[in-house]
Amino acid sequence: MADRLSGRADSSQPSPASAAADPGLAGDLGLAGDSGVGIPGAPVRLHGASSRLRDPGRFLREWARDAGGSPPVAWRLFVRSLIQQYRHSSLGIVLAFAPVVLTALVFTFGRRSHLVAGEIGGVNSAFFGACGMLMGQAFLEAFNATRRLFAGNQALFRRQSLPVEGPLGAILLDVGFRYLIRLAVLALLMALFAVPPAVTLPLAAWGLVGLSLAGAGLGLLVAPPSALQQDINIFSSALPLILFTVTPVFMVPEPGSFLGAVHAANPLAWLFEGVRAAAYGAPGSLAAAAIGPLVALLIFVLGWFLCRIARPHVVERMLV
Amino acid sequence: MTRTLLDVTQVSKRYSLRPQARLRDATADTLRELCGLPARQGLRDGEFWALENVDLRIDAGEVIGVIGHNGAGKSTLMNLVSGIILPTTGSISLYTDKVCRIDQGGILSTQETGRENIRMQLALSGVPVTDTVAETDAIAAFADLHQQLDAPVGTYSAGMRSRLGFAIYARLHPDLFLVDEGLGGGDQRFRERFRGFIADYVAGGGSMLFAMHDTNMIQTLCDRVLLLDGGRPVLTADATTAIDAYNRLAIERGLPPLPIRRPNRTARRDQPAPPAAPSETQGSIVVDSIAVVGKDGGQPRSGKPAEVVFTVRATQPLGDVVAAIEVSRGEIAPLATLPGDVVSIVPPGVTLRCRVRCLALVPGEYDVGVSLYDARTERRIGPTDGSGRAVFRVGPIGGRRGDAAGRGGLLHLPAVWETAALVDPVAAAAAAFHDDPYPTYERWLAQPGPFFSSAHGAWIVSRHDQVSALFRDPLVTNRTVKAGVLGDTMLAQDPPDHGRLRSLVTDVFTGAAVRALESRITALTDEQIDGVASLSRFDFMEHFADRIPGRVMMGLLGLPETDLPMLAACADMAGGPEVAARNMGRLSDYFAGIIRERQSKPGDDLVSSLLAAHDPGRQASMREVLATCVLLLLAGYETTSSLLGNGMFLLLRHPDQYARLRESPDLVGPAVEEMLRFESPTHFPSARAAKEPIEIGGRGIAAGDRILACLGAANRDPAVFPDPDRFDIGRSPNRHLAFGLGIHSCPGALLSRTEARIALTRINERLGELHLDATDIETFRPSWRPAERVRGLSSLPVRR
Repeated sequence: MADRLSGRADSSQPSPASAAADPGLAGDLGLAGDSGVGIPGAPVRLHGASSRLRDPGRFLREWARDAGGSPPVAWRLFVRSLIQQYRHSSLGIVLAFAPVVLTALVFTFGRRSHLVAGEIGGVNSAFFGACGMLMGQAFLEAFNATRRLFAGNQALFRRQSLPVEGPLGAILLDVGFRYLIRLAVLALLMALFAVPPAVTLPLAAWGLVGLSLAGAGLGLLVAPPSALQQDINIFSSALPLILFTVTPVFMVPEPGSFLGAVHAANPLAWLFEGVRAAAYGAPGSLAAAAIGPLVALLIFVLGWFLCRIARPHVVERMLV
Repeated sequence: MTRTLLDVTQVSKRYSLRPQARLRDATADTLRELCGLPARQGLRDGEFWALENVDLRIDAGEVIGVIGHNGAGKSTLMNLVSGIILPTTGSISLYTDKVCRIDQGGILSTQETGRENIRMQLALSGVPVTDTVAETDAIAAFADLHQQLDAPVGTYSAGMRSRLGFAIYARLHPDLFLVDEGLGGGDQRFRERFRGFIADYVAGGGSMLFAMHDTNMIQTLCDRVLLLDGGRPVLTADATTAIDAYNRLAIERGLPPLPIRRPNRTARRDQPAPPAAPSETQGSIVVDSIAVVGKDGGQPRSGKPAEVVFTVRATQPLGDVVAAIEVSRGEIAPLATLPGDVVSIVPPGVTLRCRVRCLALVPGEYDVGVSLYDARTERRIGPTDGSGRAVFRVGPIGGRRGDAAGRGGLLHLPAVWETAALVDPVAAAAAAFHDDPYPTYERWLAQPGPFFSSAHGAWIVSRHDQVSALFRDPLVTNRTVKAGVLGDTMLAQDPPDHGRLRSLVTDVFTGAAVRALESRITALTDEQIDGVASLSRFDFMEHFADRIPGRVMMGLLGLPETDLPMLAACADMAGGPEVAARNMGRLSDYFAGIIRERQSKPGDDLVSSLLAAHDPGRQASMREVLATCVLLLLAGYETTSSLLGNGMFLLLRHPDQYARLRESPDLVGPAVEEMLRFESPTHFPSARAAKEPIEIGGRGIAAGDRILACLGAANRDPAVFPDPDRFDIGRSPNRHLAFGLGIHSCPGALLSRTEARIALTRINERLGELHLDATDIETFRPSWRPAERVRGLSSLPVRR
């Protein structure tokens, strides 16, 4: 158990403190040790003025070690997040899909009042709107969660040498949790509006993963400046408006129109349409649903890499 | 073979004081790293070295202390070793990942339950989820928190939180502990338990990097001590040498020194020196004559100042003893603990006095117990005969704050300790000087010129003409304080920096500006009078002298009045060097937060004005802005508070002058001047030093020698003031030096005078004649605050 817990680089040199202070416990409970760097005699941790990228091998090994050691922290932070969200909320989990339900209700009312077209994209407009809201939420929630990676965990980052993987893992767990809720809501919507699922429905689930990853990745890219500059937060509050305009969340623009051209040039719109196509056979490219998540994954890894590099520089400025 | 755990090599760290540049700087540093470039060298505008060229190595089993004044770089070093931030130059190699940091900020989230907090801390320490269940139970048992484990930590008392935090640390067993003022919280028993744990950890071969002001622990535990000053390593030596060097620096800069215990710790593990049984080496230790009394010597009252006085009688000399008072009630124990300073006891013994500024206990009967501890071993050594206990009763009345006991948990009773040897002429003389320094001043004034005081490490100048000449002498510098917040104030600057900083605040204290404040001061005074209108007895300090200057200054600085009690507590520098250093740190932190707030949302207040001066014209650095804020609070609050309290006390002690003032309210102006002369708020302003050899009163003073001017004596100089010991509110001329003279004269003198003038006038008009609330006015012993440089009362009981 000691090896599993501490995994010291040199296990022949037991901790004097732990051994002396409580021999019975010394082997049972230790702080996280390290074998990640794996070079005998080399420091377990090296904090220097040189760029960490000058030794890519070491950088990658440390990255892998931190990622591998992050699940306990990620799980506790995820539980803490759930507690903060739901302990003092009577509506609890209902809030997670309330926007989708509200959108469906608004569209239904709009149809009956002839304010909204009966059908959009070949399906009931209420279903179309609710699906759009579901996908928009997937993107935005992931974006906002990762955007606050540093700002939202200031207290931890300022007091502990906490790798970004812990809080990031918690965010991914939260995003995954909401993703599962969304899948259930999507199934309910399809049943409610009698929209037959296409055989490519699993591809839609994959596409939804892509939307979350794209949101999380873009959020990670702006997380460092967002922690230090309030303007970015203000800009982010306008993001839903931009998103709902340039992607087919609630409407499909006329081909050839200005908005249609914007949509056509927007990769996120391709992903939205791809998910719809995969879910119920709407017009759109299945390839976008298949390949889009891979591109989103690349963006996510890029954002993760950036945050890993930026962490000490950002935290230093958060101390002042 | 020795196993190295930590190797710090030529580490420097650069910080920027410009929050508006933090995005730019962080982006630039990130981009440099992405490009594979090392950190940028050199300093840009607004940057400084928080740490420079530090080398440090810790082997397994070693304990290294880090000491230095606030801002010396201790926390920066801890942050670097922790890996929270990266060095600008050099490298830090950790040869273990089992590193745990303990700091004063606490590790617990108040929103989460105890169980959730334990699991979070275990997770952060790398303990797998599967092991946390068993460990949680063990920690809860260790912390004795079974019943409250699933309650939010926010509902815990301070003692429970301390126990929980300690229990978590105690289970982690790291190779290297990083302790950054980790024992700041908790009660005496918790602190003792924690100290015991650390001592056991060290004795067991544990390693530690230890930044703390607790010299006793540093001397007891540390193999070596690194002294930092302004970010630079001064020396690495044994604890006594390092603390001596620290104190030399402190004296040079007019900062409070650290207490030092001699002889130095002998080899911690090699030559253990457990204390012998008290009966064998320490003889009999008896604690008797325990009395808990109120400010007037009568029954202590809820919410009011009180004193615990007791006598320790010893048959053998005792060095390095700490006395601790515990207050308990029935089966609930203890409600409060009051640990004292390290003292030495010489037979037949000492009288110890613990002054509590506010007795936060509900009326009723309480037990008080006194214990004595060996400061080195933390073991209880007395009393040896079961003495040291008494019962006292807290009377009703008082204060808004007197309702704290009984809520559960440990109370904080802000207290100041005094020690007086039963037969110690030096201590008796010191106490007599504190109570009435004027006979001593008379002797000083009888001397033709300055004299060197080894106690102060400075020349004392007391005669009016010599003090005046000193204040105007261009060959005398005020740059005696170089480190810490005070080092950045105008007080510690010479021209041209002094003029630059002083010009930041002069607009606020012009005649027109102060006249504009008169209506507000009147309104504040009336509000305070309304507050005591229904009371027949009250504390003048609490209701007027402390409140009016505090509220005026809070208004000027644009601070919420709800923060006044906290800031007033921090402004009290009388609790010893550690308390003063801690309070100064808290004030700095507080104003740093206010400055950040005003940067994003400027207001119509002095802080915003100072920031405006900082930004466009580069008139003041951010450190200087912060220091100016702290100085304004300290100077604006404490001295005017003392002026008001001393003034009212003088009137009460001189009924003829009081009657004269009531009959002729126009005399209030000269009366305030006479109050300033007769009982000056500041007796010893900040130290000066000779830049070149100078002569004062025929005495030659060498370059570099420190010089202290005694305003209290100068204002009683018979050569200038006929019949100087007579309090005469019509005295004219009255060329006193209470606010100094020359370029360093108090810029807020007019505001202080105006506050006193208005307050005394309105109090006379609306409350009529006040009387000292004491059975015998002639023998009434005022409660002077235990500060050396400022003379003010801690309480002034009056009745209508």
